[in-house]
Amino acid sequence: MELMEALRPVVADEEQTLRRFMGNLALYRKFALKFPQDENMSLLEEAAAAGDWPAAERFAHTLKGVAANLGFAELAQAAAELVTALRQGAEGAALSPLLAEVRARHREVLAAIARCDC
Amino acid sequence: MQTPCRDTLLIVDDSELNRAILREIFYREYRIEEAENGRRALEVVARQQDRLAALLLDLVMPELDGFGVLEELSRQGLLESIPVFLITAETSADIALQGYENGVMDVISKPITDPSIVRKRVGNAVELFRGRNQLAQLVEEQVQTIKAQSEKLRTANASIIDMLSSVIEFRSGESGQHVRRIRQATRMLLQLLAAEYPAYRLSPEEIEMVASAAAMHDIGKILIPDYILNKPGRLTAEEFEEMKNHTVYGCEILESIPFFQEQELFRYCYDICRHHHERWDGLGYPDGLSGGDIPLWSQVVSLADVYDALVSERVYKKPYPHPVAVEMIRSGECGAFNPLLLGLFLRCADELHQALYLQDETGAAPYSPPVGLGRAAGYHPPEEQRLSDRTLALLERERQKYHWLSEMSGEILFDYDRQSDSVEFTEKYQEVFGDNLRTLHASDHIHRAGQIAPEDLQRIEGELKALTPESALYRTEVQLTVRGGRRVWFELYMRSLWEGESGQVCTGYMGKLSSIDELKRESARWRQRAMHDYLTGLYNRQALETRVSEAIRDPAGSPFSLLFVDLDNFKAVNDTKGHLAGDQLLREIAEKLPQKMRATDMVARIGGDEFAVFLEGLGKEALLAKKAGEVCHFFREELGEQGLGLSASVGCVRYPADGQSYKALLQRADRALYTAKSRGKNQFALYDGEMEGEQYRPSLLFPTED
Repeated sequence: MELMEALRPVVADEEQTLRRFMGNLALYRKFALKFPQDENMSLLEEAAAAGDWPAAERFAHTLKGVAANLGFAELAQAAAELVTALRQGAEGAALSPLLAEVRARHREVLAAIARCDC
Repeated sequence: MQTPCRDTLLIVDDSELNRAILREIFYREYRIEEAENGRRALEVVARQQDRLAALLLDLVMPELDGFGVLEELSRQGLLESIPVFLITAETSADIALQGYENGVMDVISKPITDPSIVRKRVGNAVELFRGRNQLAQLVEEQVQTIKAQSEKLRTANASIIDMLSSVIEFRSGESGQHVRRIRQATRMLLQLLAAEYPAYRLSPEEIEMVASAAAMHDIGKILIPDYILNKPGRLTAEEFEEMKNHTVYGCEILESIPFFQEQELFRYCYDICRHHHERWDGLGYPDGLSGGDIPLWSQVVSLADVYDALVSERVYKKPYPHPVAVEMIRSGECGAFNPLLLGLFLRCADELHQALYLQDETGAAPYSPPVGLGRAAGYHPPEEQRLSDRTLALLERERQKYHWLSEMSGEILFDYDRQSDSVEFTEKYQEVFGDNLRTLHASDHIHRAGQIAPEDLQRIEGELKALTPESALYRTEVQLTVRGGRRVWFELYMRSLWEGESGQVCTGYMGKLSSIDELKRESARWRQRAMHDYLTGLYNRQALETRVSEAIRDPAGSPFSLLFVDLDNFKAVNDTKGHLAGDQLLREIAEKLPQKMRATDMVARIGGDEFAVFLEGLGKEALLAKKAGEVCHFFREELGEQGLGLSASVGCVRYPADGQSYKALLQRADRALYTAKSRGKNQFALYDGEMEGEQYRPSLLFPTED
């Protein structure tokens, strides 16, 4: 499957996303395909598990940025909410649902990417 | 000045993706540099700050975050020349505000929704800063130019002041000492004042400035006519009124110097110029200020000036001795002064006199330039002076006046400059000589132009070399060839011009050529007249004596003879025929007798009816006798009407045989003549030593005066 088609479930606004990349599909492709290697998700998990909330905030924030750039709107949104909560000082149990949401959206994106015959 | 082009965008973000997206937006228009954190970013900035058109800055980064970068950029003053864009995911207004407060140009949120807008926003800012930078550079260049010009002006002002001071001195005939002494005296008085009365708070810089300004006190005199300035006698009331104006004129001159009024020195110069003739009691001029209203510096200069005037020689007075001058000041005879200053003066008067007036000229302090005008020490040769327009205009006016006066005089005046080897004449020159008024390579030209004979030129050039600054005038007479080829006598009257620190360099000459041809011809005529007998046109006795003396003095020592001819019965002619007939007869003799003689002989009328003939080169008796016989024959046979009974008696002498001085020859000729007469007239007699023993009555012809 071609990339954009594969990503359609997770990229809300394809047109906007490509516009962000100046219409350079190859550039988008490069980074979209690199996304699975992005460590921020796992780092976030680690930090959350370790209770290192400032680190968790940073990783969540970075994840948010990448996701937003690549058009993974829901993932970005979930990460944003996690960041907000973390900034407000939420810890531990309060964050679980938000973290779970991020985890889920992340998996979705990875799955979508996997479907691409790139 | 070439500045590197600002063509580079620095993208600072720890996210490679963010950097890539931004690069993608801008790479077509800019060269891109990337940095993944604040520290790296600053490294790039350090290397390439002059190339950076803009900075795109993320906030959250490891090592140094966005605000950290901003702070450093601000500290280095780079935010004025490089626009910074904050690229941030934070949407809160606080962050944005903080960004702006820290000096960012604009805040761009990420993720970027509209790249083209971002491009435009960044592009606009880059453009704006480019313009701003150019402007800043232009302003900086202008500032540098203005600074340089200011400096030039200050130097020019210093030169102008020096020059004006010198001109005054030169024009009023006073020595350069006066200004120097006033300056020193002012300095000394002020130093004493500062030491005794610290309340006045006179700093050394201020004292120096006032001392420099003191040099200007009489510049207004440049506008006072010469005849008043240099009048040896007492000035009339009107003349004195005009003289007083030099105070105000000085101020006018100072005010006309551009940019001078902005300088601190100006105030002192102005006050001193204007008020140095005010009196403590208000009876001074021009404003009649009194007491403390008179600026302190003016008072000091006033005092120094009065003292200097008293002890120096001026056109209008001889110098007073120091103690007398001091007493005159103390008693109030020479002006009313500030009692405090007067007291100080009296205390240091002796020292002042010692230091300034007893030192020889050669021990004089080196010329010091006015302080406060930022001028380097040392004398600036005139070539380096830049003159203000106003001063140039003044000088030009003077030059014009000189030019017109020269022309109006109708004389041939000239001005020769050695450095350019050029000479300039008034128009009369062209009229008389038919040559150009202005000539380059003048020294060459004069040799070739043919107006002056080479030997005359050589003589004059030689004599000019002997001129000195003390003995600068030269006068001579020379014959020149004018237009048309005629040789005319001129009087050349000129003056050598001197310059240089000790006035040792002759810079040229200026002078006058006056035709004295008429005079010379006239005098030649008179000399001629003096040598000739009016009635007959023959030479006269003076001429004879001259001729004889010359022949005697001639080292060649050629012999000559003299015939002294005395008419017999001439009185009878006058009595019978009248004086007119007698005159006519004499003229006839004058006409015909020389024809009987050789061209080298001289026929003179030396008395009423007495003649003499100078026979050059003739020394032999026989020949002399022959000649004398011919003369007798002439008078007897060839004159006038027959039957008049006219004849002549002739006495002959020879040189050196019969005498070696004019007087001796005269006496012996007379004896010989007497002998001829006593033998019956109508004959000649050669002088013979034996005649001395005979009876002789000296003729009235030869009075025995000595």
